[in-house]
Order: sequence, then C-alpha cells, then structure tokens
Amino acid sequence: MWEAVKQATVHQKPHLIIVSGDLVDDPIIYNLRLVQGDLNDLAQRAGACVHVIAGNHDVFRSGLNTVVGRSDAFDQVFRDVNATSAAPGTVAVATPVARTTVPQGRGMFRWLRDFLRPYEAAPEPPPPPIAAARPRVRSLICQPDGLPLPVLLALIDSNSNDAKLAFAAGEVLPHELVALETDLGKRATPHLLRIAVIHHHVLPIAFSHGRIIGNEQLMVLTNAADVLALLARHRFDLILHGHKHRSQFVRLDFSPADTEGYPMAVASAGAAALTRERNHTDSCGFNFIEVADNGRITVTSFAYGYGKAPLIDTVQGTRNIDYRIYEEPFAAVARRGYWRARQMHKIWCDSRIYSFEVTENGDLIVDNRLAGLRHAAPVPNVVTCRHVVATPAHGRLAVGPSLDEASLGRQVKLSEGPAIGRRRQFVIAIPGDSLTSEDGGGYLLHHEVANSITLTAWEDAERRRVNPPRDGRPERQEWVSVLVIYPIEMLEIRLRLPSAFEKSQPAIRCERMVSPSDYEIDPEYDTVKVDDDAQPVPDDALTGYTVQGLTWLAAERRWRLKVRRPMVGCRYEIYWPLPATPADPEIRSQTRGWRDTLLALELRLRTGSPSAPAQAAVQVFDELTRDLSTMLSGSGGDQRYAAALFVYDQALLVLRPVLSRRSWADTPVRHDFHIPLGDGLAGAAFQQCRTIAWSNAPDQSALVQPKPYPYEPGEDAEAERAIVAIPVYHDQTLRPPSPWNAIGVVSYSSWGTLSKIPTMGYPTASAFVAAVNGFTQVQFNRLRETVLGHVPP
Amino acid sequence: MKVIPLSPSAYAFEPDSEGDRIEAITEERLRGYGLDDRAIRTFKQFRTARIEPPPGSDVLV
Repeated sequence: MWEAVKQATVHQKPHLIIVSGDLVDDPIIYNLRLVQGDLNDLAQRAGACVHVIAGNHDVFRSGLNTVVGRSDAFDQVFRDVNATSAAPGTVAVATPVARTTVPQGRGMFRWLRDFLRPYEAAPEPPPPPIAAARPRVRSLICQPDGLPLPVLLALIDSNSNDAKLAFAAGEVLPHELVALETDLGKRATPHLLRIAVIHHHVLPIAFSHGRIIGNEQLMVLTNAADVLALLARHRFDLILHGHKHRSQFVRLDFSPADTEGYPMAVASAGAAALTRERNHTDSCGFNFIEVADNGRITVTSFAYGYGKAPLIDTVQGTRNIDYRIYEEPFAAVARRGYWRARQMHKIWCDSRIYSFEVTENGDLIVDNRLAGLRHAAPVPNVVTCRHVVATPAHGRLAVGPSLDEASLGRQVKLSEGPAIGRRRQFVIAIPGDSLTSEDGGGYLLHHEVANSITLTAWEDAERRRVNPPRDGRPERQEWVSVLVIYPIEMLEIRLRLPSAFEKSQPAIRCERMVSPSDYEIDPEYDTVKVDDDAQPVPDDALTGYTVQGLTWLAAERRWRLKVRRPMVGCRYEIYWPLPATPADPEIRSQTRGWRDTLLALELRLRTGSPSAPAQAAVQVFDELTRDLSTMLSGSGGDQRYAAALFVYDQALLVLRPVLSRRSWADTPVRHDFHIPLGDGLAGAAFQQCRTIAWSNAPDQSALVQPKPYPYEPGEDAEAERAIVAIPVYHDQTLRPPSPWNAIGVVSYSSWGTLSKIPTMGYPTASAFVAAVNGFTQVQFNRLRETVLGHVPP
Repeated sequence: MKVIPLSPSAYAFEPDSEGDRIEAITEERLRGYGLDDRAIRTFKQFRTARIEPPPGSDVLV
C-alpha cells in the first residue's frame, strides 16, 4: 500500500513533499533509518524536496510522553547534529542499525515493560554538549532550494519533553517560540509563500465525538493560540499538521475587516498508509497543494480506504467522496498578494485614480491622480515616481504631461527622462516630508494624446494589416489599461467613451506581466521590473474577481472600475468592441481600384506625362476649387485659398495629395505631404467618414489640429484661418458611410476673414453643410468620369 | 445633419437624414450659396451614385 501511495505522490509531480510526523511507532534509529531510506527513494523518484517533522510517535514510544522522556533518535537521523541549528531535509542515505531484541512476556505486563524500556543507545556519537543556559531549539526555519518561487518553511517542534506524563499532548515551548520569532524577524528577504508545519493541532477537531481516545485535550496544542498568533503576525499562508490523522481544512482570518489582517489556511490529512482503522482516525489520505502563479492556494484532499491504494488523479474519483477541493477565495488571494508586495516594496499608496476620456475624434485624455503616497522609514528627502506615456505609432502627444496647481503648490516637480523606444518617460519628484503627513504624498498628472484610439473595426484591420501586433491581442477591440507597479490600496479606472460607444458593454481583462519567480524591484523607483518585451499572461481567476468592481455611472456617463489591493505586476484593462459595418465586396474592390487609379494619375502628372483625360481632370478640380471658394467665403470668393484632393494609400496608411490648387502659386502642393490615417483634419475626416470643419480660434484644442501647411521656401507662411475636410466616396448612397467605401478627402483651406467655415457648426447651418458635402461629391463624380475619358475636356 | 463638437474650434458633420442626400439638394439652394449656371448644370449632370474604375491595370491616365 505504501508503494501505491508513493506512486500516486510521484504522479502529482510535486516540488515539495511534507511529512507531518508519526513515521514510526517505536522511535529507534533502525526504524527511522528505514523510513529515511524510503523517503529518500520517494524524493528521488518524484524529483522533489522532502521535509519531515517529528510526530509524538517519532520521539515517544507509542506516542506517549510518560516518564522515559524524549528520544533523540529522530534528530540524529533527520537533523544535522553537528549544527547549532538544525538543517533540513532527507538528504542522507539511510544506514540501518541492528534491531534490538525485545524481551518476551505476556499481555499487559509485556506492553508495560516494553513501554518503560529505555531507548537503545545510539551508535552515532552524542551531540555536543549545549550550554545549560541555552535550551536546545528543535524548530527551524529554512528555504528549500530548487523551487519555482521562494518558499519559507517553518518546521515547528511540538513534542515537549518538559511536561512528563503529558501522553500525546503537545506544546511549543517558550524558548522555541522565541527562537522562531527571532529568526523570522531576521528574514529580510520576503518570501512569496510561507508554510508552517507542526505535528499537533492548532485548532479544535471536528467530529471528535468527545471520546477519550479522540480527546481534543491530547490533540490540540496547549498553547495553540500563541502559535497561531505568531504565525499570523509573520503572515504565514499555510499551516500543515497531523497527529489525529483526520483530514480537516479551515480558513482562519483573525481580522477580516482590518487592513492588517491576513488570511491563513490550516490543513491536515489522514494517515498515508494504514491497513486498518485505528483510534477513530479518518480514512487514509493525503493533501495535494497547488499554488498558482497568481498566488492562489488550492488544497485537494484525497481520501481512500484502509489498506487500499490511493487515487492517482482526481479524474478517477468522485468529487466530495474520493476527494475534496478547497479553492482559496480570490479576495483572500488579493489580500495576501498585497501584503507580500508591501513586504518587498518601500513605497505604497492609498489610492490611484486613472481617468480616461476617449473623444469623438479618437483622442485620449488622461488624468492620473495619486493620493496617500507613503514610504517606509527612513523616508528620503525626495521620493521619485516614474510615469511612462506610451503613444501608438500613429498617435501624437499633444498636451503635457503637466501637474495641476495643487501639486505644484506642494513643491512636486516634473521632468522628462530618457525615452524608452517610442515611450516617453517622465519623473515626478515628491518632497519626502509630504509623505510623513497624515494625507501622504500625491499629485495629479494630465496629458492628452491625439489620434490614439481606434474607432472602427475597419481601422483596426487596416492597422493590423500593415503593422501586425506582437502581443496577440484579439481583433476588433480597443482598450485602456493600467499596470500596477507597486502596492496600491485602492485602484480606480474611470472611462468615458464617445457617444457612438455608449451602448457598448465594456469588459475586463487582467494579465500578469511578471511571474512570481521573476519578481525584481527597480531600486531607483521601488517599482516591480517589467521587461519591455514581456508577454502578458491572462489570469482568468483574477479577471473574474475584478469584474465585480465594474459599474456604469449614468449621471457622469462613464464607466468605473474599482479594485481593492490590485496585484502588483498585473495589468488591469477595460476593453470594448469596435463597431463594424459589413463591406460589400464589389464596392470595396471598386473603391480600391479608384484609389489606385487616382494615385497613378498623380504620378503621371508629377513625372510630366499626363494624358488628355488627366489634364482635363486637373481643370475639373480647378473648377471645384473655385466653386468651393464661392460657397465657403462670405464675399463671393476667397483672396487666398488652397484646396487638395487627398487619396488614401492603403499600403502606407496615409492620405496623399493627388490634385491641388493654391491661389498664390501655379505649382501643386508637395507630393510628399502625407497625412497619416486619423491625423490632422483630412486624416480624421477620412477615418470617421464625417466632414470636419475647423477654425483657428483662440481657444482651439491641441488635439484637433491640421497638419502644418507645407509651404515652399520663400512663401508667406501665414497660418490658415479655417479648413473644411470633406470625405468623397465611391457610392455616395450607402448609409452609414464607411471607410471601405471612401476614396479620399477634399480639403479646402481659407485665409479669409469672412469665411463661412467657422459658422458650419451652428444648428441652422445644417442645410448649408449638406449642400457643401453634396456639391463636392458630385464634382468628384464628374472628375472620375473625366479620368475615364467620358467627359470631353 | 448630426453635428458633433470635437473641440471649441472644430465640428464633425454626420449625415443622418434624407435631407442630407444629394438628391434632396435643390437648384435653388445651390444658387442661394452663389453657384452659377455652369456649376449647377454639372451638379445635375453628375449625380451618379457609382462609377466603375478602369478595369485591371489599364489606367487611362
């Protein structure tokens, strides 16, 4: 049966095997060496590290502390006797010693004589004498090697030799507690998982039936509360124990409502290989404990009958009969993760609020508020925080970053550091004395990025076609996200979307950017290091827990996600679907054909070999320009104007000028005056399939700006007063208008003071706007017929 | 016509009614905006919805 248990254990591929005591019943060297050899075999077969602690049966004959006292055999076999503090592990090859001959006798007399028989003399030399003032410490703290994440193991001895006739009762002696407290206090390196192993119970036992043999007074530590308090104080995650050989699982939380509280789990298992029931023990069993990359602890408690082979895997059994699964609530995972991060970082803050606003034009406005920043003692004179602004290749940092007046008043300073690729890095310096105040340190940072957010599925497909994303992001989605790089008590993400998306239902996605084994702190900013090419790992459990914090604030018309104690090293993302309009394949193909035709026309005109239809097309465009000047000026025609037909080049994702007319020059606008998709006015008008009118007003936004006009050297570089960008289509009857049906944009710039363009935004101007749009489209149709040679020059 | 403010100095115009269609634009309206007979004549002549591009690579220009 034991062989079957070993096989089942090896099958689980554990990194660590814990044996919580009662390996033998007669604690003699020979027996313990045999067990050691078997555990060595298990360790080698499983490729795992094995740690054992002594149960009462391993140090007292039949597990009863009477007058004979405690045997040192266990320590001699499983601990390094030459060290002042015990070393872990089952590393030595077992050396069996000769079995002693047990005198024969009858019944109770034989049992009593055997019981009171002194332990055999140990063949190994006795341990060096320990000064009388320093009692021996059998408990030890260790960090097993070769594990995928740092684990702190506390092996706690509860077999007190001080209390004679204690029988099976246990106690962790005061000097053991002091030694543990001292050692744990010295452990500077935080560990991602802390496991305590102790033989006796730390909690009452369920279903003990009050019987003497199962009496809790002999099972539960006499000072269990002291031990629990110590472990809670040092934030242990898991307590494993044995003794009664009953499987039991409990979650402890001494202060669930307190920020200082820490959830612990207590698990025990049945005996591994009993051939028959003894002392009302539970059915045989063992616990398989898994720790996920996000820190979540799951305990699977296997149970199998006396003398029976255990299950190899859960697929063979029935849940809640052959095995039970205790999965940690994610709220507890988050609390533990927060405290682990607090142990590793010097800084933390009360709250961070990120407000994202996506404009109708696809620009992104960001407000980043930090409050309650703290620093562990000693607090430096200045604490620096890093703020990275990432803009897409087609975007533009139009405004900021800049601090608000209140932050400047608190002497917070902002400077720019070296760029990281396309990402601009800014450093915020906060006076240290503000961190020691009751409110802590803080600031509000504002910035705006133009042409940053994809608005349609068409645009998403176009950008993916030319620049395939390397992060494996799904198609037809847009998102905003926050990467948590140090402990935050409360994270809040606010999102306002354009009116076209108000009926969209955003979703949440959480991804780990740092694995537990790679957690490193950047000493300059005390933030977790995240590689530039780190691949995000989706965390579905974290996502399921986080989504509960997403709400729609109807009065503010924005979404809000609140996350208490977000996990450091994780990215929290709000994403939404992009609207798509199904494309008519024929229209889409013909539209592309017209783009190619008109781009080729520009090349012919530029290289000086145009055909008659091409020259006629130039005249048509000149007429269109004059007619637009008549319609848009307030004086029968602008004195100074410029117009251009921009056509979409899908290979470069830009609009290129094909035909143009300038009032002050006979030459066309430069052919390399490219307008990126979504940028400027023409790029935005094409991408959104909307006419856009702009005027050079005093309070104009830095987000919606035309591309600077490409003046030739020597020309009067006066800025335009007003511009209108009008999309032109292959089939103007399609509703709603779509980019796959759009050929390009006609752009008209006016320098006149009486231009009607600034008035186009008035509600009464809708008929005028429709007329301008319609007239431009019809003249564009005429131009295309001219290109085909259908219209005589 | 749906007017969408983009900024204090910029507006987007999205067609959202039958009145925005080209067919609904009258000659009188265009004359009211200063266009002459020539412009209106070509407007009437080329209200075409779709024009097929040149076939294949045979660009006529």
